[in-house]
Amino acid sequence: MSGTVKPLLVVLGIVSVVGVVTIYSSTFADYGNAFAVKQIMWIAIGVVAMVVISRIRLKTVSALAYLIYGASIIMLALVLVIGTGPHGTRRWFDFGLLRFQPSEFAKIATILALARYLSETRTMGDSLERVVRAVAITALPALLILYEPDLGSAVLVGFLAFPMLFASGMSPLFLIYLLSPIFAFVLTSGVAIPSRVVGWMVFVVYLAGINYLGRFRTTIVVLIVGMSLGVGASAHKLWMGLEPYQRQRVEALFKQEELRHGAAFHAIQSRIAIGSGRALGKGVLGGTQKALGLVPAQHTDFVFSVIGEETGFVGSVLILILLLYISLKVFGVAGMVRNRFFYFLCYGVGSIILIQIFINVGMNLGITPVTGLPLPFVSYGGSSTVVLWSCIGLVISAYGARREY
Amino acid sequence: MVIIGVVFAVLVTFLFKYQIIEGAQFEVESKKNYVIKVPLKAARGEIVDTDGKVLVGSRQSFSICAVPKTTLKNKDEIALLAKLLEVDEEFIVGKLSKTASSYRPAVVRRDVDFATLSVIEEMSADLSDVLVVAEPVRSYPGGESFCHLLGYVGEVTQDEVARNPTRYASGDLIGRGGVEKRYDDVLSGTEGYKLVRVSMDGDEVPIDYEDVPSVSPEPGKRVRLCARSDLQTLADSLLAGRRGCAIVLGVRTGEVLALSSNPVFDPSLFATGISSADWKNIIEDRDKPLLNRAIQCAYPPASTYKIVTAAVGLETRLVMESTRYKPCSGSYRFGRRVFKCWKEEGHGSSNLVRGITVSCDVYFYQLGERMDLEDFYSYSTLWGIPEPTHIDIPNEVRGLVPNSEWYDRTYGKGKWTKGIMLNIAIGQGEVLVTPLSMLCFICGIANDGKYPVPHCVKTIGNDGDETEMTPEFIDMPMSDTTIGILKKAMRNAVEGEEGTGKAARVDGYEVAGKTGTAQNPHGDDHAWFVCYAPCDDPEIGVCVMVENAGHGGSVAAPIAGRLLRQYFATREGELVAGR
Repeated sequence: MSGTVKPLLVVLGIVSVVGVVTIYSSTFADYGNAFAVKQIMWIAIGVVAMVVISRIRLKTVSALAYLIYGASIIMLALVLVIGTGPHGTRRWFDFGLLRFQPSEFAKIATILALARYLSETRTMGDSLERVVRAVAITALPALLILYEPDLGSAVLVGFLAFPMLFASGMSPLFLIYLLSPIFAFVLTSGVAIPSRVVGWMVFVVYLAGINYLGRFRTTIVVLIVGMSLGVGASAHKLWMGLEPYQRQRVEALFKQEELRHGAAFHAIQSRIAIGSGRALGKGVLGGTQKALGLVPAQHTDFVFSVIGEETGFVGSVLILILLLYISLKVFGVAGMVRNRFFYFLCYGVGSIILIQIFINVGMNLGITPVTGLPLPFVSYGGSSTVVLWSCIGLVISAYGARREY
Repeated sequence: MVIIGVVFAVLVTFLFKYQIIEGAQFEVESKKNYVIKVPLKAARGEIVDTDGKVLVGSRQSFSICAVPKTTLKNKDEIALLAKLLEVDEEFIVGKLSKTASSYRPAVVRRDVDFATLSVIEEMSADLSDVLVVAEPVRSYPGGESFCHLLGYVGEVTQDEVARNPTRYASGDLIGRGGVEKRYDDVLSGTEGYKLVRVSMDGDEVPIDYEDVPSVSPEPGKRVRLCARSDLQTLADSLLAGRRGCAIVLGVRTGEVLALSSNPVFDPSLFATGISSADWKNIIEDRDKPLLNRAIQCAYPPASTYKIVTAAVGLETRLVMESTRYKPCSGSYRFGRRVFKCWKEEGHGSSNLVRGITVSCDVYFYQLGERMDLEDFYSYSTLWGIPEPTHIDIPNEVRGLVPNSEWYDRTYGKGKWTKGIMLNIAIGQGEVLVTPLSMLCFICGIANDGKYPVPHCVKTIGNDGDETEMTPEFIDMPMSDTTIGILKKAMRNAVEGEEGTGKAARVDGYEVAGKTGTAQNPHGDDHAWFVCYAPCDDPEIGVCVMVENAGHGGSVAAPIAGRLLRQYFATREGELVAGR
């Protein structure tokens, strides 16, 4: 134990207790303590996993990184064949008593593979080949997850390459530039801006501006501009090809009033729950929104709405500080370690925690799409809880070996 | 650092906006925002016989539900409801307090008649936490016939809800036995819901159904059984007044064409959750009507097991078709004990085939005396006899074929003698099998070593969307020579002059079978008969087992004969119609 690991574990402990209490609060009326007890069990398994993993030498983990990544890809492919899930999706392996969600495992596996790749190819700098390969490492699992379909996890895994490339010293402007095809999609598909003509105009202005600012190499400019225009041209068609409920979830962001009782219903109800908590909240177990089944998945995706309703502004900000402290500490370890693989690994874990916090809390507040990403260490969920604690195990192991090269 | 700061700033800004600046406004919204999720129950899928005749259907019923959280605080409302439903107040409190702090409506009374219903609707102003929920419940046009195949429904327990909270809600009716249980996930359908808005203290606020989403229930799928109503009702009537079972199985398909177990029970008693008085009656009935005797009781198989003993002898080259032992004089002396043959005057000298045909005990005592207990055990197990058949209805029990380890454990090392081998060789002693398992073994022989896994369900799904269940077979390692000898012997047992199963003969078809008469210490003998037909190209297997009824040849074989004749009569009818 030390000045870094100890406070991290204390905060993780507090956050987990808050999670269990909130899960209990949102489920006890209908289900008694079934969910809370199960979550305690998951946390226990997670802590055991953390302890075991923290004793494994990271050099071993590094050697196995691609193998783990390969196994994760196989599982993702397999779940498409024999998996089960709600509404005809294929997200879980169902073992009767417990279910395993390979997309959660894919998050850590992808981080490992990326960390290994980026740490071994440092000499390549920000060459296009390195970027493309890094993106490919994330794109493969992301596409498989998208096919389940699980948009939230797919996007999360798909974007992992960017914070990791940023960590390897790549210029943020360049990384934003790489995302141009996605901006092209958002702006020209008619999702964010109803008029596609206006969307195109905005996009062209953006593209010209960033090209001027960045002064990128010609090959990259040709590639990115070409891809962006291609995506822009087919965006509308691609968009319509998505499942209706996936479209609605994204649309719900931009058209909240129109969809008040459709896809935006949950987000609005969640916001009413949080808002009605006011400064100090309605008291633990005292929430009223939750008992009526107004906000769905209140023990999983919308767990933060219960925290907001029952503990108010003070409680919400406190839990937010604790959660961000966890990611801060993980990034802190990334800054301390000398080995590049350890560095990228910690950076990836920190990113995934931070991104999930932002997207999940944002979704509860109605400012990010309803994507089904859990709130780290708080939401109910076996695979997610165990994988996150395992990640902490990796970070502790990296910290222990921080002086190694 | 910077990014974390930005994330924090953005989220706190929005929290501040909603909770501090606009908090009061949201609080008002949340207060008028009490919406109850009223479940829309899905109708369970129909269960039909092989020709599509409905055996179990659904009818609409109305249940009185109440919101536990608000109702329990309102004494007047409970008193009024109790009066209208003619129950005690404690009864209502009891129903609601299982989920006392929930707003999810709990069922107070199922299947309420129209008179009561209209009074409750009229008094709805005083019963603001009470809801009438339409709920489809089971109806049984097929009556008690098929009851053991179908099973019944019952209220889900608190434990089951806790274990699978996303699937069940308190008060749900789920499959409890038979096909209802095994195929519960396809039969149950998906519950829908509508949201009804009420104010915080339970007064209804004008409801605008349009502005809240509702989800329609999705009815369960239809399940078609393999069973034929003509065979099933015939089997029921042949067993009426007795304790026992009759099974008709497709040799080449594993389809359960009839499975009758007597006495029967009335599944409609369970349709709306069984009353404790009815339950007590059923449970305390000494004949145990809920028991499916074809799969849930293991009996001494008696002489039907001679087929197995003979097979073990042949496979271990201990005996050949022509092997003769000491002639039967009506009894056999082993050490100081005398083992009797069922026929006092004796059978004289027999070879193996005649030994089976006339069911000579003395022949099998001598075969058993030479047989190794471990061979007897391991071959029986290899052929799946003490194992469950894996039929697609639940709660199947295992049989028992003992080995020396079992005897050591049960009686103590050295406390048992080779004498047991003589007894179990004729299917007495400790050997126990279920009627279905015995039948499957016989069908496996008829099917040249392919053991059919029995299945009750033929297809799942509604018209035009039916998925067919594929027949499954398990390889039964047994040589062709052995199978040939056993087939010949079983044919002789019915068609031969000396056969014990002559009562199962069918005009125009050759039947192969084996009788059994199981002695048991608790009363009269159990009568057994297993058979298949036609001999040259087997189509169906039949097993009849009647408790405490006497001889297999005179009690069970005639019942099997009637079932065979019914099967072949309709088959000929089909052939004629086909031409």
